[in-house]
Amino acid sequence: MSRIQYPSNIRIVRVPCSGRVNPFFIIKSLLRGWDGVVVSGCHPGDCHYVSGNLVARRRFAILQDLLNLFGIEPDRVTFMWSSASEGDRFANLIKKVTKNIKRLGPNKKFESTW
Amino acid sequence: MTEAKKELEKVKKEIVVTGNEKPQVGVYVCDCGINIAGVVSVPDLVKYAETLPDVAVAREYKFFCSDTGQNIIKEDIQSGLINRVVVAACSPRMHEPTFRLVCKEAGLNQFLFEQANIREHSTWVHMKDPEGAFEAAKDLIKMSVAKARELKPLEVKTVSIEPACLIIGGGIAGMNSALDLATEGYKVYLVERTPTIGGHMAQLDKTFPTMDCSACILTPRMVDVARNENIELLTYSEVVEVTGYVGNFEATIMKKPHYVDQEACTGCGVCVDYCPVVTGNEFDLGLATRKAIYIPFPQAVPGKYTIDMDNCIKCGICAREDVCEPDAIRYDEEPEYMKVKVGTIIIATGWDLYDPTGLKQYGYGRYPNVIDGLQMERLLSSTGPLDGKPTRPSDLKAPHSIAFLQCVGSRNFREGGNQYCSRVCCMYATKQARQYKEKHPDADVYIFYMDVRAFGKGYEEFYESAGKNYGINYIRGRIAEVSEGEDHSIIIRAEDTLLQEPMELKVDMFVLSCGLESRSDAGEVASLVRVQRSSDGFFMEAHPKLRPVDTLTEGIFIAGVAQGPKDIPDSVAQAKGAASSAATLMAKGEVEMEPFFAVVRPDRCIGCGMCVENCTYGAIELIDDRHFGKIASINQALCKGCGACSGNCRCSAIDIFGFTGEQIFSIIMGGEL
Amino acid sequence: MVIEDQNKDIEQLIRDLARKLLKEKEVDVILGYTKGTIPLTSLPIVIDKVEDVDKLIWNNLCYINLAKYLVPRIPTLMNEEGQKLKVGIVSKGCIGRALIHLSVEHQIDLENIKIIGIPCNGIINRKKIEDEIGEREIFEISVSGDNIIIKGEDLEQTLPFNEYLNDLCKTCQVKSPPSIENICVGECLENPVIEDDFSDMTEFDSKTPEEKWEYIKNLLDTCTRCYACREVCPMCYCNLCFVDQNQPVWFGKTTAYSDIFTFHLIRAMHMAGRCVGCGACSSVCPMGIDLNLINRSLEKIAKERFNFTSGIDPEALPPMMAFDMEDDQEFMMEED
Repeated sequence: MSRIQYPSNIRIVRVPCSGRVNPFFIIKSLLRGWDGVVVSGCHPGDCHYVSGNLVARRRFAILQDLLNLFGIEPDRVTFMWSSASEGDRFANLIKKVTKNIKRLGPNKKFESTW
Repeated sequence: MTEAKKELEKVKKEIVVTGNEKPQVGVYVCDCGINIAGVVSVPDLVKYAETLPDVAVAREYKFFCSDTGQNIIKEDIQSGLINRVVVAACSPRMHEPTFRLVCKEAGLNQFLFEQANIREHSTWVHMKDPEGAFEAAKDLIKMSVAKARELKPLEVKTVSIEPACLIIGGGIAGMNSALDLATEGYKVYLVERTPTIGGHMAQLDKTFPTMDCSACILTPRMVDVARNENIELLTYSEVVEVTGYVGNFEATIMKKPHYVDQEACTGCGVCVDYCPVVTGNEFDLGLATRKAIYIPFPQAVPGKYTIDMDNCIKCGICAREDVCEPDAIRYDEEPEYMKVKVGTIIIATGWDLYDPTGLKQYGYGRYPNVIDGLQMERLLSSTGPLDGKPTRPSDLKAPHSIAFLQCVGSRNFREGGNQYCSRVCCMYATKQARQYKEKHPDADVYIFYMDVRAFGKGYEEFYESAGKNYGINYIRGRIAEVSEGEDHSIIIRAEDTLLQEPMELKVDMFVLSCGLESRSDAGEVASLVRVQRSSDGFFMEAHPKLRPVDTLTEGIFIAGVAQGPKDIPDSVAQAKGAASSAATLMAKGEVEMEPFFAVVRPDRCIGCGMCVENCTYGAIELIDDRHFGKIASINQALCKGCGACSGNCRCSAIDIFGFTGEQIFSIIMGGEL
Repeated sequence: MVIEDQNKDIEQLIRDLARKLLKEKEVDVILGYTKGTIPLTSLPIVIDKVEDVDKLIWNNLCYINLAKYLVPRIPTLMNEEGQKLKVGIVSKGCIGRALIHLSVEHQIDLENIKIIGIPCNGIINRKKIEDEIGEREIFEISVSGDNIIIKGEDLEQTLPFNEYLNDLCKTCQVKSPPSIENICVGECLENPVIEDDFSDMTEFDSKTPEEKWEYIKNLLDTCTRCYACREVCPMCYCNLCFVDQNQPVWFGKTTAYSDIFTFHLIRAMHMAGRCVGCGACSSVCPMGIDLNLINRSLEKIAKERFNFTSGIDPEALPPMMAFDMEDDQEFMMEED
């Protein structure tokens, strides 16, 4: 966005709405060996699909709590809002995510399944 | 039709893909000039793509979006080499429609296409890290090929379009859009929240650079709007809810109570003479007064009266038979709600003037003789409170010297300021200075500026003449602070940055050329119609260059300053553009919708009803199926394909076409199982 | 009153109500508990004749959540008169909660149900007993006064009842089913108010992610994925459970920890705001895995995030069935 530079170690999967993101997408990514997962959606109130992000927010709140319960470091999975016009914010958050994940180190918990 | 196209048409045969045959993916990696090829090695990306499973061919070209580029893809489809297309290039926002059409024209189902965004998601954002960009591009291609292998042909659905447009805002932009659409035969609902149309332009005296009288060119248009039978004028009304989607929006409009029967009121104005309540007139920015029963200004359309209930004391005088002969006063009027069905919406909500109160150093609000640009406009206006003979507020004497300060609140990177240029202030200050000099040739007029931006047609000439022929002093420099001298004069301390020396100047009046801002409640409008705003607060266009009047929400357009600061000609041009875009859409009578809706697997659905509650569009209901019992059922006409239902479904009984679980699974797996 | 006497009273309450409902043809059948065929168990039973009512029992081994047997078959069954079968169901608090939640999820029609409310006095934790007894075979288990008496080969042991309860029962605040007009008979709770500080969770919550990972891993490591927990759960009524789905196969079917992890995590996800805290899953686990920690977390999440307790109010929507602009989003990332 706006050609603002951010770290090159993220890969973007296009979904119509954060509401589409099933917990399986996140867990599977962790099982697959990705070191972190980010879900980014429109800000509450600005949802392109009215309230898809609000449905998603409850789902993600529960998922984040359960991941914590099961001992997954909170920074492995990040949820954030970033609108299409917020290139700066997106880049800053991605920088923060990569910094957090670098601090955690590689995701080795599911090595056997790769 | 070109010869080449005819030729292609001749050989064109429908390529039947059921989705069950072995995928044959064609990968087309675009150089995008140097946008992609300048950062990563496209030949190496092509070589890499060739190694991916089910890739039948991978090619490079300078611009796949060009005619030649498109033909390369078409030929591969036509020759039966491929049945899935992956273009690795720019954002699908940019060219997905282009390449879908390529597939369609070559006889392949257009939804067997997938775009890998290696420009916005790699070479642009990792420009300074070419190695990282290359790895990212490789993965993006791998992920797209993985998804492409899972693509299934889909059929577009078409929905009919209601030939009507809702226009929010009755300023010069909204009015122009309304007139154009109405003339083309479309029904227009023009919603304006104040009691009159006309907007800010009605407050202006003369317009730069031609010095036309603003009212003289605006008023006839206002009357045209009121008279046009295709336009339903809804003044003193607000849109409170918008549901539906392109072609079939339903808007709820609240008509605020005027407390005066608008049918009965004849606009005679007798009530005003009797009304005992005097309050500030918004139209004159508090420089003049009005009564509690009022019309905003004499030329207001419609010219019917409204009672301002915040100030009305309900004395009952205006309701007296001898005062209001038509018996139009209704103290107990309630808001009325109406629902309209429209195919398109134009947002033309305009702007607010930057409030300079926060900039303490300029004394606005503290010193009576510091005013803002719009107040100056009213003072200069022949219909204004002073009949066009400006005096200073402290003693109502004509000032001998006036200073203008430019870029107030604009081009300011500090907190509280706006970073953008408001585009009109240089010219309006020049115009106001010139108008004053025309009336008082011996007055001293100064304009403090950062840069004079006179970019429009005739603007530079206007600016040149202001200095040469009218003796207006342009001083390049920022004002550090102002203080009040004796007799409420204003003492300015500034630095002349051309001479590089500090200066002090005493003037009788000080005008702040404030910039334009998005409406303070633009966020609420954005939520209402579900369009996005740029970081500056103005509504965001779908593409800054190629789709300046469209929003990212189909069927919704923006006109005028709602999209960003503009002068009158630009606002009108954009308003006409928005009207034209809306008409283009409605003229077709129907619109193609992406068939990306939710589908239920009845064998899995258990009918718990979670999706019904999650769906904001009311597109899902529980039905009793003869074979499967109670299950969810999707109304595809209402479904927008957001997937909120699918993301929550415990049974994985709902999938989303275009973003199926299997497709996303294969993206995550990168095509490996 | 000692537990032994409580049990007698509850059993009498069940039989009296069942007899009355059948006699007055208020219901076609009664769903309740009967004596198990092996020690430490009980069995579900369907009674349709007044003379069989004395087969109904109550003891502290009635761990099965009888609501399980209503879904999905019962709503489609007809009685002899060709009307929807009316079922009376012996309900401790967690069964009542399950019934209410199932009705919110459109799985049962409460109008065809009679809830026979009983004041549950707790379920004995089999795992704790077995840990105490070791490998020795148990012939008989009974409650005398406030003690559990265990008899077996070379074995007669007295254990204090309160220490061998399910942990879930210790924190349970809905011992009888929440009352619903015209649906409930027997002992029910009028407008239950749940006040829970989840202090039993504090110790676990204070662990580091690594400690939690190890703890949960140790807890679940022996899971053989027999799915007994799923089979006994009243909220597990999908036609095709996610673990059995293909296209795509989101995770493997092995007992590698990554697969066990995914199974339990997604199952927990599916139970959030839905678990009624009956503990049947833990009671039936052949590997003796106690899912109390996960189930309590689910209650905690629902209560603390969304102020929701499942199966209390038939009009309230569970968290995942609703959304709210004002929900907390403290877990979402913000710029520094």
